Amino acid sequence: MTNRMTSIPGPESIIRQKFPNGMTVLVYEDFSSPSVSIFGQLRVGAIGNPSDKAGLASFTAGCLMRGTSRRTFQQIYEELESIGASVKVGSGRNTTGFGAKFLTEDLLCVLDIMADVLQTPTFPVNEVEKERGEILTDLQERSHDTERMAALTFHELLYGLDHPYGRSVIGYPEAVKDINRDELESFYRTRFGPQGMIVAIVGALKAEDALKAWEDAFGGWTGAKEDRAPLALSPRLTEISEARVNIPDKTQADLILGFVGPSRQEPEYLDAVLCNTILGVFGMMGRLGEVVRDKHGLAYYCYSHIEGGLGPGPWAVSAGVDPANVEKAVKSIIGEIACICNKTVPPRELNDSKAFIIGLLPLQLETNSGIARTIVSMELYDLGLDYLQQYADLINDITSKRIQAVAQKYLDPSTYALAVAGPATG
Amino acid sequence: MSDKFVKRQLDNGLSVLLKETHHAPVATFWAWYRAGSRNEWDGSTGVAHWIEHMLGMRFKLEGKPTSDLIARLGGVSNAATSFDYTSYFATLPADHIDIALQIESARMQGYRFRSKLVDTERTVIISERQWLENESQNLLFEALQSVAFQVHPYRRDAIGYLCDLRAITADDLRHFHRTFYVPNNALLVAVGDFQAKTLLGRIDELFGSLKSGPEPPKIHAVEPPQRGERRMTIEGKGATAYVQLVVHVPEARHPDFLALVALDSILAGAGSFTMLGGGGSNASSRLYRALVDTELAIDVSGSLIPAIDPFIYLLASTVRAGHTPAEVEAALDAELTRIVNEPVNEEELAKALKQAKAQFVYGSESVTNQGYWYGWSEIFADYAWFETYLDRLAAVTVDDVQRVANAYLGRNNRTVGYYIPGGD
Repeated sequence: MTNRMTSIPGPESIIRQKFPNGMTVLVYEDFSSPSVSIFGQLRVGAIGNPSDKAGLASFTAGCLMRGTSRRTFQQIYEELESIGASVKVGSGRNTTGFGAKFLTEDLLCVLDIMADVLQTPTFPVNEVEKERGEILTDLQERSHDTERMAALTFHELLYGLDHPYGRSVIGYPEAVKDINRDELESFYRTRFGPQGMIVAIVGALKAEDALKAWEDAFGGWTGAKEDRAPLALSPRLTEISEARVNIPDKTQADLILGFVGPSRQEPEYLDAVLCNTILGVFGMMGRLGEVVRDKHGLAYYCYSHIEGGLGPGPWAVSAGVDPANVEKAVKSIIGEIACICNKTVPPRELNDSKAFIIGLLPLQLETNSGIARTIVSMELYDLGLDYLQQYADLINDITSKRIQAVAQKYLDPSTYALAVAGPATG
Repeated sequence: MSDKFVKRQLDNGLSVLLKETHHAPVATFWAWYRAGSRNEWDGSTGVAHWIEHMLGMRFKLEGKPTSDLIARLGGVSNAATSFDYTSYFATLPADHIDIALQIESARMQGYRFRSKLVDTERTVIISERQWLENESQNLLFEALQSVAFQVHPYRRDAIGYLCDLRAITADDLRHFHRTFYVPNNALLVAVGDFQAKTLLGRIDELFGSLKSGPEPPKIHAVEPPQRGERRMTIEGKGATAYVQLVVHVPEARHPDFLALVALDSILAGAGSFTMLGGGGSNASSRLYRALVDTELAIDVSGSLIPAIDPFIYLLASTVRAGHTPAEVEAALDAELTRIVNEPVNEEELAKALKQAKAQFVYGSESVTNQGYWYGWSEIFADYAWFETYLDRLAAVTVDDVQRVANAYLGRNNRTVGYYIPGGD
């Protein structure tokens, strides 16, 4: 072993530049492999959908790759695939992500296509219809997918259909059928632009070359003005809210049980991440894996996850169980949640999970795309360029009392949402 | 062979392959066993995978779960069972790699398979099977495999049949384990930020004294040539139809394999060199244009898996709402007929090579991916198969592509499956 200390990306190695049109570009040089990853986010997502147009942002983002003022759908993909490159665009709840992966020698070609896709989409009628058909078939598949139906129902229960987090990101069949081409184009014109755009370029290229190439491709983009309505406050549950979705002819049921969690900007967010690690991540899925899976053999998977993000995303437990074992699994999960709320975590267990989270950092930063995603998160959530260098100290400062406090604040075992999708029993 | 790359065989028959790379302070350590579902016998299907569960998540070193030991050092660990192998790995900060060696050494030394634990794991494995069955495409492929293969054990999926999962005993596990988990049937692979010479010495200390066992039984099954198209249908609830088509193709070592890689790339897009798949897009491929651009399907993919024995090449598609599996199959058949009858052009071949080169570079960013490919290629051929991949692909000609298309894509060699939804 070399015990060599590889520098963690920080203020001295991440080059950051803000441009007059509102975009922030961050570059990290890494010459270990002759490739480049780009990852970025635009400040537009499903939270901008009108309540009767669920799926509009996602549909719009899906159309960006389907034709531009200079390239048809087939030309875009022929050019990209001929050089082994990929470009992707997709809309989530809060933002629209875009990314690219390519060999360094193809930088200018890929940026030209990305600029075309993000700045001059033309929404060709035939391509819009192809995209619609693919979305509708996907929604048809979702309606018979236990995991996806549990997730959809869980969000509806937890936030309610009046809140943007309660509605499906990719929409519902009726809404998607109803969205017309002009609405897509209008949504693009009024919402997509460089204001608030964050992009990270990571790989085998010099920072000055990357910044110049990005400015040449995107510096002239004006696009929509930043116009983000504040996210509506999410109602907190005051009682247990349950729903069962009957999907016949399946052999396994999926369940999601959870709560409204903290947004990424909340000061106790890392406390919640550590608490979540203890509950349902560490080793083979933390305490939940040990009890629900290993001890009782009730599930193939049972883990907890915390979404964070710009708004208060969910903090939840997911499990895939035999339909006959749903009630037992729920009881075990609730028991573990109550335990982490009521009893302080022993020091040994706390320290193990701290070491896991801290030690995982080099693995997350092993690939160009991993570094790019991490740097964009640091910028998006205003964590500071030295965040990764402070990370170990921030985690090590967390105490058992803080873990218990964050559990008690967010994980009330008497007021949760529970969605189960699978075959009816009994 | 350079100092940065070491391949050795210890006296007990254990193979070792080490590759230094110093771009990040991480390392991956793998143990591979030539023990997959192909090595199982009737009545004990799923036993290789069951052992992976017992020796993976349930395995303890000095009383502590090994996944916890790795996790508390900031590492990740997992295991997998395929038709050709079972593998265990950990990727972690490089200065902690020794714990991964200790775990694999202990794992190779024996296990008691207590009946109570075996029974608890039974319900977990049955849950895993139910999870797989929930996906219509999995149901279809399992059935398709069993029709395409009539003799070779590749006809069975690694998860095992439900009736066997209910009946397998701790003795069955012990028997399979004693037969196949011996150093002379195993391979260790490490890639990362270490000194190969030092690591080899430590491996010798921890593994060199383990006793070799009798040579595990060889699989002599040979699938006879297919003498006509086979067809099958699965019916179930839901609203979406799927089409899958497989043809028999040769093993990874066969001279035609790289021409088939080029063929797959032209038909359905380049394969990935990352462990979890998910390569680039395939919208400019022939089948995407014929099936998805024409709005008959919402996706199409190809899967050409390198294997020890001749396996199958899969083309799979999700039928778009309002269309039928027969329409999708007709469009698929037209493209297969075209590539048999008309030579591909040089540009298509050049594109396939460039895509492969790019995927290869992307895959090399992560030590885990490299460990996976070095190990897997040693299972189905040898590490040189992986290292010379791009050179051999570059030597494929348009004539080679047409020749293999002609040799393997014919109707007589096909098995076609439809998943027909029955509605609610």
